[in-house]
Amino acid sequence: MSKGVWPAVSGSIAQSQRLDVVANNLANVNTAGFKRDQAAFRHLLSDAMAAQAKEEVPRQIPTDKEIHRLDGRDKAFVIVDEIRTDHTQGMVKTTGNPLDVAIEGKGFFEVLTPTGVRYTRQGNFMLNGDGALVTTEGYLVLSATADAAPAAGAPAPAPTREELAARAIVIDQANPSQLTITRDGGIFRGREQVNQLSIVEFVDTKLLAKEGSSTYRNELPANLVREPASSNVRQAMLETSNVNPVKELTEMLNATRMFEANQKIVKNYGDLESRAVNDIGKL
Amino acid sequence: MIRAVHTAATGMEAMQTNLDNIANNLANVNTTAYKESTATFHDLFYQNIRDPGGQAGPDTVKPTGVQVGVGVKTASVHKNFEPGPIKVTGREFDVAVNGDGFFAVESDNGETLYTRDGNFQKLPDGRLATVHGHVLQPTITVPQGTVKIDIAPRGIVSAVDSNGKRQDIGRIQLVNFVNPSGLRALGSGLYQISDASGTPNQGNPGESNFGQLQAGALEGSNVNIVTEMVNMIQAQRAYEMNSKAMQSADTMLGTTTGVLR
Repeated sequence: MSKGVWPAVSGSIAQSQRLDVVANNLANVNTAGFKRDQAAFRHLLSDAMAAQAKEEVPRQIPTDKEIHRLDGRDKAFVIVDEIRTDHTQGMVKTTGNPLDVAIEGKGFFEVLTPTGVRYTRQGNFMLNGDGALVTTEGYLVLSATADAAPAAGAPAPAPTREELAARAIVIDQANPSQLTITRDGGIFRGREQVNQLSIVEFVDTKLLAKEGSSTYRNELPANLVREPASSNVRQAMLETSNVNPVKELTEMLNATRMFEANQKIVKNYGDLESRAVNDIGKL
Repeated sequence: MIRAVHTAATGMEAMQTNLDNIANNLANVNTTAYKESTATFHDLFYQNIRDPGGQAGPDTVKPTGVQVGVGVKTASVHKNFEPGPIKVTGREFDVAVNGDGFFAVESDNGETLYTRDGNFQKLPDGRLATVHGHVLQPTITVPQGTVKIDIAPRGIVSAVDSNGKRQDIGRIQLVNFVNPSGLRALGSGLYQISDASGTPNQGNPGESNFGQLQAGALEGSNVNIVTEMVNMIQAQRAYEMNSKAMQSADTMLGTTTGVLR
């Protein structure tokens, strides 16, 4: 097959990956705290583009490569370079449930999963049988802590699982409707502070990897900022998904039609080859 | 593309569960002491095609990765124990809990179940029981010849006989749980203990965090119709959108197969 077909194939694959991302966004349009993903494409040239040579009067019979200069464009590809998560604030809706919390701002809650500390925006917490504050998956919600002062030169040792579990928020006496949660995450019963929710922010949210169940994994410890500068905690509210259906459907339409366009190119190459094989050689 | 089809399928299934739940809530909008169920969703795991933070060069780290999600799952469908409105009925055996707390009743096989439905009846032997015949625990027996029953807000039940003499015949107790949403709903307004609910904590109405009793009244359903309607619209449109994603993926697949004639 002529090599011009491969860029079109890479385009088709890229558009179908874009559709996968859009489909995931649409499937999660009702998931509280969900942040939409967006695929970004990158143009790759597998050969460096040839420098523009001076035009010369040909002294020999020119080959097709000299007449029709592609300068590497016939080996260009497109790939999905990154899938960026859009951390725009989702709309906050009132639920009336005293243990539902929403974050306005860039903060995240800290939760302890079986594989370690993760971060989430989905604040529909409940109490487990022991009175500890947990997510719907049963992950413990952690309370605020101060970072240990790092020893000179050496990084602070990673906390053990026991130390992390000790930061669980336990509400003794069953009555969540009497709890109030203030804007900085303090948990009060009446006027007495019972505990403090951990709200953390990140220097660069692009380094957060999604892990499913509405949790994120932080790749770099230095990315974590324990003193949230701009986050407010709202009780009895939940942050909804930030998926904009209109945008997603437009992306989907675009992806489908671009896919079709790329496939038409592939088909055309096929027709040309078929012509070359069948018609040119006809006796 | 094939991935998009399965992702959209999970979305449609989740919205179906959502709608089933909403329909159940709406069907029970007039049920005594019904607690509305809330469905919550989580995104499923992600396939790491490329992890974020990989090396792009000797000094440069790629800021993001390529992770594609595979859809949504139903994380939980749990009951929301916000108190419902209290409706006055005037019946002497009707009790509503104005606050937190469940009545304990004994089921047919001797197990203790819990309910908020205070529509009690008198069995032929005088014991107070629910309409299904589950006897209220601790047992309260109305003596023969009683003309009127009074239930005080703090639980004390007193009976007045034909001579006008009043005697206390027992005290209604309430039971509380750390996590009432973790109770297993059995239907007919009954709930059963599970590992997630915590141990039952019995006490007198009006003391510590138990609610007071309101005699001659029943607790209504705590379903908020407006919220359910809005949720229903969202569920329906989300279902439609996911079906469009599936259609798109199907069109793309059709285009691909149409390349070869």
